[in-house]
Amino acid sequence: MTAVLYVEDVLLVDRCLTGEPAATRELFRRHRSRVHACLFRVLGGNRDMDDLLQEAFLQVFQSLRGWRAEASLATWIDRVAVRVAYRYLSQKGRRVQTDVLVDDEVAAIDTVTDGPGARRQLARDGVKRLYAVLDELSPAARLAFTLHEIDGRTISETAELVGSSVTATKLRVWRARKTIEAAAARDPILSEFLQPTADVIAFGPSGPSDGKGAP
Amino acid sequence: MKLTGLKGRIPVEPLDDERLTNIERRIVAGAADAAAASPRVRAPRFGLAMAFALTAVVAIGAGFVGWQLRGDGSQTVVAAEPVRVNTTGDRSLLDIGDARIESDALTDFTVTRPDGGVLVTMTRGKVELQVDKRGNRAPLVVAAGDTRVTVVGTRFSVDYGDGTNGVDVRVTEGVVKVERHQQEVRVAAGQAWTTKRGVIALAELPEKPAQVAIAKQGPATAGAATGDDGATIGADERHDEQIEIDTKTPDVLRERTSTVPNARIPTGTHTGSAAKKPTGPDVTRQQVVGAGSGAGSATMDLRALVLAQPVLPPLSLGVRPEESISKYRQIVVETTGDQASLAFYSIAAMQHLKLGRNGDALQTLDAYVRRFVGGKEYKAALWLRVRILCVKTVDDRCRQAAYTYLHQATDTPAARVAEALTLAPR
Repeated sequence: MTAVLYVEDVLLVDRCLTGEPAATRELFRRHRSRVHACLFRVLGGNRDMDDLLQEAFLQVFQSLRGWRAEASLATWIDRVAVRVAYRYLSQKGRRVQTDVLVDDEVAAIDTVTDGPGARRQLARDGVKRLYAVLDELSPAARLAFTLHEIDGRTISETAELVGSSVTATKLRVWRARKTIEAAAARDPILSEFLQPTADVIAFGPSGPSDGKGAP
Repeated sequence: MKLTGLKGRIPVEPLDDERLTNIERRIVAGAADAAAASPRVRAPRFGLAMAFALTAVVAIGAGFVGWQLRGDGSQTVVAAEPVRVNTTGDRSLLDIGDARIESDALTDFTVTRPDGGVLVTMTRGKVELQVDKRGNRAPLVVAAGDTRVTVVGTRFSVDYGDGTNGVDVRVTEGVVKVERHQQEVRVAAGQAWTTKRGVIALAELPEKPAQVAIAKQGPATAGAATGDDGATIGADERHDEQIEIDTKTPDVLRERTSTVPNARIPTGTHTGSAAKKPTGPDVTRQQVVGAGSGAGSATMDLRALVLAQPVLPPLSLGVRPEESISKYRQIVVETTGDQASLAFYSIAAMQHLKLGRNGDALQTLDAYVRRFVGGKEYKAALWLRVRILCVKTVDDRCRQAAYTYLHQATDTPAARVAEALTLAPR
């Protein structure tokens, strides 16, 4: 993080703490894509996503005074979002309410076996099955795995976000990976989806997206 | 198949503008509320200052009214009269102002306020409490049979089963003090205390159904807790069953257990023989029983588990240890393959087990692991390293050794102990 960004963050937070709506809006707009992408990768597409994003940012603003400017604001916000995701996952008997994808019905009658249609179908089914396996993991293991393997954070970043030691995080990731590999061994669709060479096409109605850009 | 490279392969479905605008609107409104509710860094505008002042006046007024209506020195909803809760159907929630008490079905308890404190007297069932910081007020106490749990400000549960068996206390935030038979022990976040096992890591306790199943096992399990000979195997089995990898209260939400000084934990129901430092083959058995009898800390339990795992003995040559080591060296130099592997391992085992030269043993083991990758004694060597490093303290070196062992020997019984070590709180 550059010094300029750091100072910008501090000034922005200071403005937010005075209750300035424009500052609140600006902070939300700066960080919403990343937080949304993080929650999406941890939880998968689900019906509560709007509420979760809102909850994460409300908690950010409620505890903004607690940001001591030691960590970057982005990291601190991510940590809050991870806690929100954790709480969501830990609710008893919780199963993530996966969205019914917009073109599922079309896909059901789409019998194309090759080409972009088939690949899109594979991506859709693969993601669904992957998150079904993730549903079986403990919240801590799921967080560690998704943050590291899907969200692409390093082990130490992941450990910092979930507040565990690096070793414990590594172990959780490793165990989750084993579980998924075991599931893939039984499920050819998941197995095909997880192949490193598998061509993945976004299943959303608005085309491919990796969530990095502004929504 | 080997799982690799998921990064960037899960497409994120974007939120549309309308949804984002709605979220933004709610957040801005919520943030304004949050800002109004907390003190400001900068001088607020006049209107906001007035709102703040008004809020403060209302709060002071409410405080005054609360003070006038208080029981014995505490601001509560519950008056001096006892409140009895007897849940038969679903869970119930009782908010007494300075604590929230959630109770399971078939729970019976009474709340009173003696001397300004709060006393929750349980007859049966399970309660989960979330207690505000009590400051100078008298403590909140949960009494379950002959066990008293004193709270300063925390989140925990007390399970008294059907009111006839032992008590199970699980702490997820803060610290509680458990008193029983004039003995006192502090249980911190991430720890649990049970009548039978004393203080243990929360991760070692199973979920409720599993616990009920164990309780119903009858005399064998009870014997394990009291430490009689025939029950030692039962104790080992129980440890095997109860180690879990992922705690239900992971690190993200709990304090470190290391904040609790072990010195405060009493020695509990140790017998005279346990007080004397044991030697020989019985060491393992006695220490496991000690841990099972509820006397030790979570670290002690882990130590006991480490010691309980069998170690591959060195090759027996029938001579003194030093001479044996010389002969092993000779075998290592003169032979290859399995024979050399066993001799090399035996040097380390002899150094550790018979001579107590742990530093030398670790060096030998490092050399063994480099030289005999996949050797016949490879897993045993890795475990010996775990044993040496973890038996005194569970530190980063111990965790690393346990982690390595776990990866190389997933299919062994000791792997579960290695998992517990890896996840042991710092």
